[in-house]
Amino acid sequence: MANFLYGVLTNTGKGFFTAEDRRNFFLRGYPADVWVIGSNERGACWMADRNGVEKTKAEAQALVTAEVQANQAAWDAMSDEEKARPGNEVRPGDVTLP
Amino acid sequence: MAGYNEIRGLEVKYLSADPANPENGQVWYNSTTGKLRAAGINVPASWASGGNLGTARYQLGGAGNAVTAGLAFGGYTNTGTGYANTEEYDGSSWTGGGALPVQKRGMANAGTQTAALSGGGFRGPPSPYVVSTTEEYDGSSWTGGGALNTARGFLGGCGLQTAGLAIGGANDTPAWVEDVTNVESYNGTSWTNGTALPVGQRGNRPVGTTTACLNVGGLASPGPGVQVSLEYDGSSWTSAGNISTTRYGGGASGIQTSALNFGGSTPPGPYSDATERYDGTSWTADVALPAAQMNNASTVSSPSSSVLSFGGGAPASNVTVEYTGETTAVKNLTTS
Repeated sequence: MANFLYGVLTNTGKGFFTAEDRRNFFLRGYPADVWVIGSNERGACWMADRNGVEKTKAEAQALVTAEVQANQAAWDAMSDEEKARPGNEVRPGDVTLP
Repeated sequence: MAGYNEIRGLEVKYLSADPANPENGQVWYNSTTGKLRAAGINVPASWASGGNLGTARYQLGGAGNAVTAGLAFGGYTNTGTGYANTEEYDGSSWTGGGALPVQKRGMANAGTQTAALSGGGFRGPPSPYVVSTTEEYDGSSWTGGGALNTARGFLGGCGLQTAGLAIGGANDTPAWVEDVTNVESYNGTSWTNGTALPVGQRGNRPVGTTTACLNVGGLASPGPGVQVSLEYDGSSWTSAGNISTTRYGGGASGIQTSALNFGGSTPPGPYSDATERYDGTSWTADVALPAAQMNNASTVSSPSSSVLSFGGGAPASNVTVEYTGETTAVKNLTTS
């Protein structure tokens, strides 16, 4: 059995995930509303209850990579002065899903 | 194996209701619910989702002393829009408050939801970016306070509206290459120069008070990040424990002897989801943020066991997360 589920879910705010959820299963958010969820009964129910759209790992990675590349392109398009502006120094880094 | 009565010197009591003030380690049977109960069961720290900000933004200001009393103001988006609007959090949702007189971002923030302080920061383009203006919030509107002696942006702030600190920051002349060492304290009316930092830095995240401050993280541009945290007693800086993952531009909360630092980054990235806790001596890893983030804001004056983190980017985020520190609770004892 795989360790993780991959899904696309929109964070709806309060109650989207609780402290107890994060104690019960692995949960980590990524660009493009991609969430990596611990593959146990509680994790699967959490995604289903929120109408998450399940993806394969490759599909989820493609969504994340597309979002990251768009953010990288936006950063690359900045002038050197803009890149040096505080808070802009970091080019969005590549993300590899677990 | 020793039984419970040998360990605790007590029998398991048969009670119709949970005791009012059970001691850690106390075990009893609740005959009404039919559950075996125990007090003092460890509950690990965790982050949970909170209500989303009305305006997604980063480099916003944050204040507040509880997860039920947060304040978000100013900020920026990657589309070039600066914000002056303020939002207030009640533990579940954000509602609009009085707007800043001008849009700005990267300020020194301090205080509470009803008595907040915003010093310095930057705006634009066009240049000049950095500002020295100070604003005070009373729970409904912002009014001008005394100006910083040195205009700068992306600086650290902590303390209260009437006893705040502005630490470090960046100067835009020339081209954002200068990180300053300036430290100023605010008394509710004016800023007074204090003892300078040993190293100029931006994006540092101090916590505490004007006489018991912990300065965490930061970036000595173009890098690397500042790993040494520093303690300030109102007159001098001394080195404290090294943070293990060097970061700047994240969030922080707590006091000098019990602090939390979370998120941020260091060039060349990526953004970090690390959370670290300081006990007055050393930093240890805590439960990670649910998603990596930087340029986020926090309830700077809340205890390190109960913290709000909101916004961040780029791209601009409207996400709020609530931290609850490790605690103990009364729980059912089960065999599964």
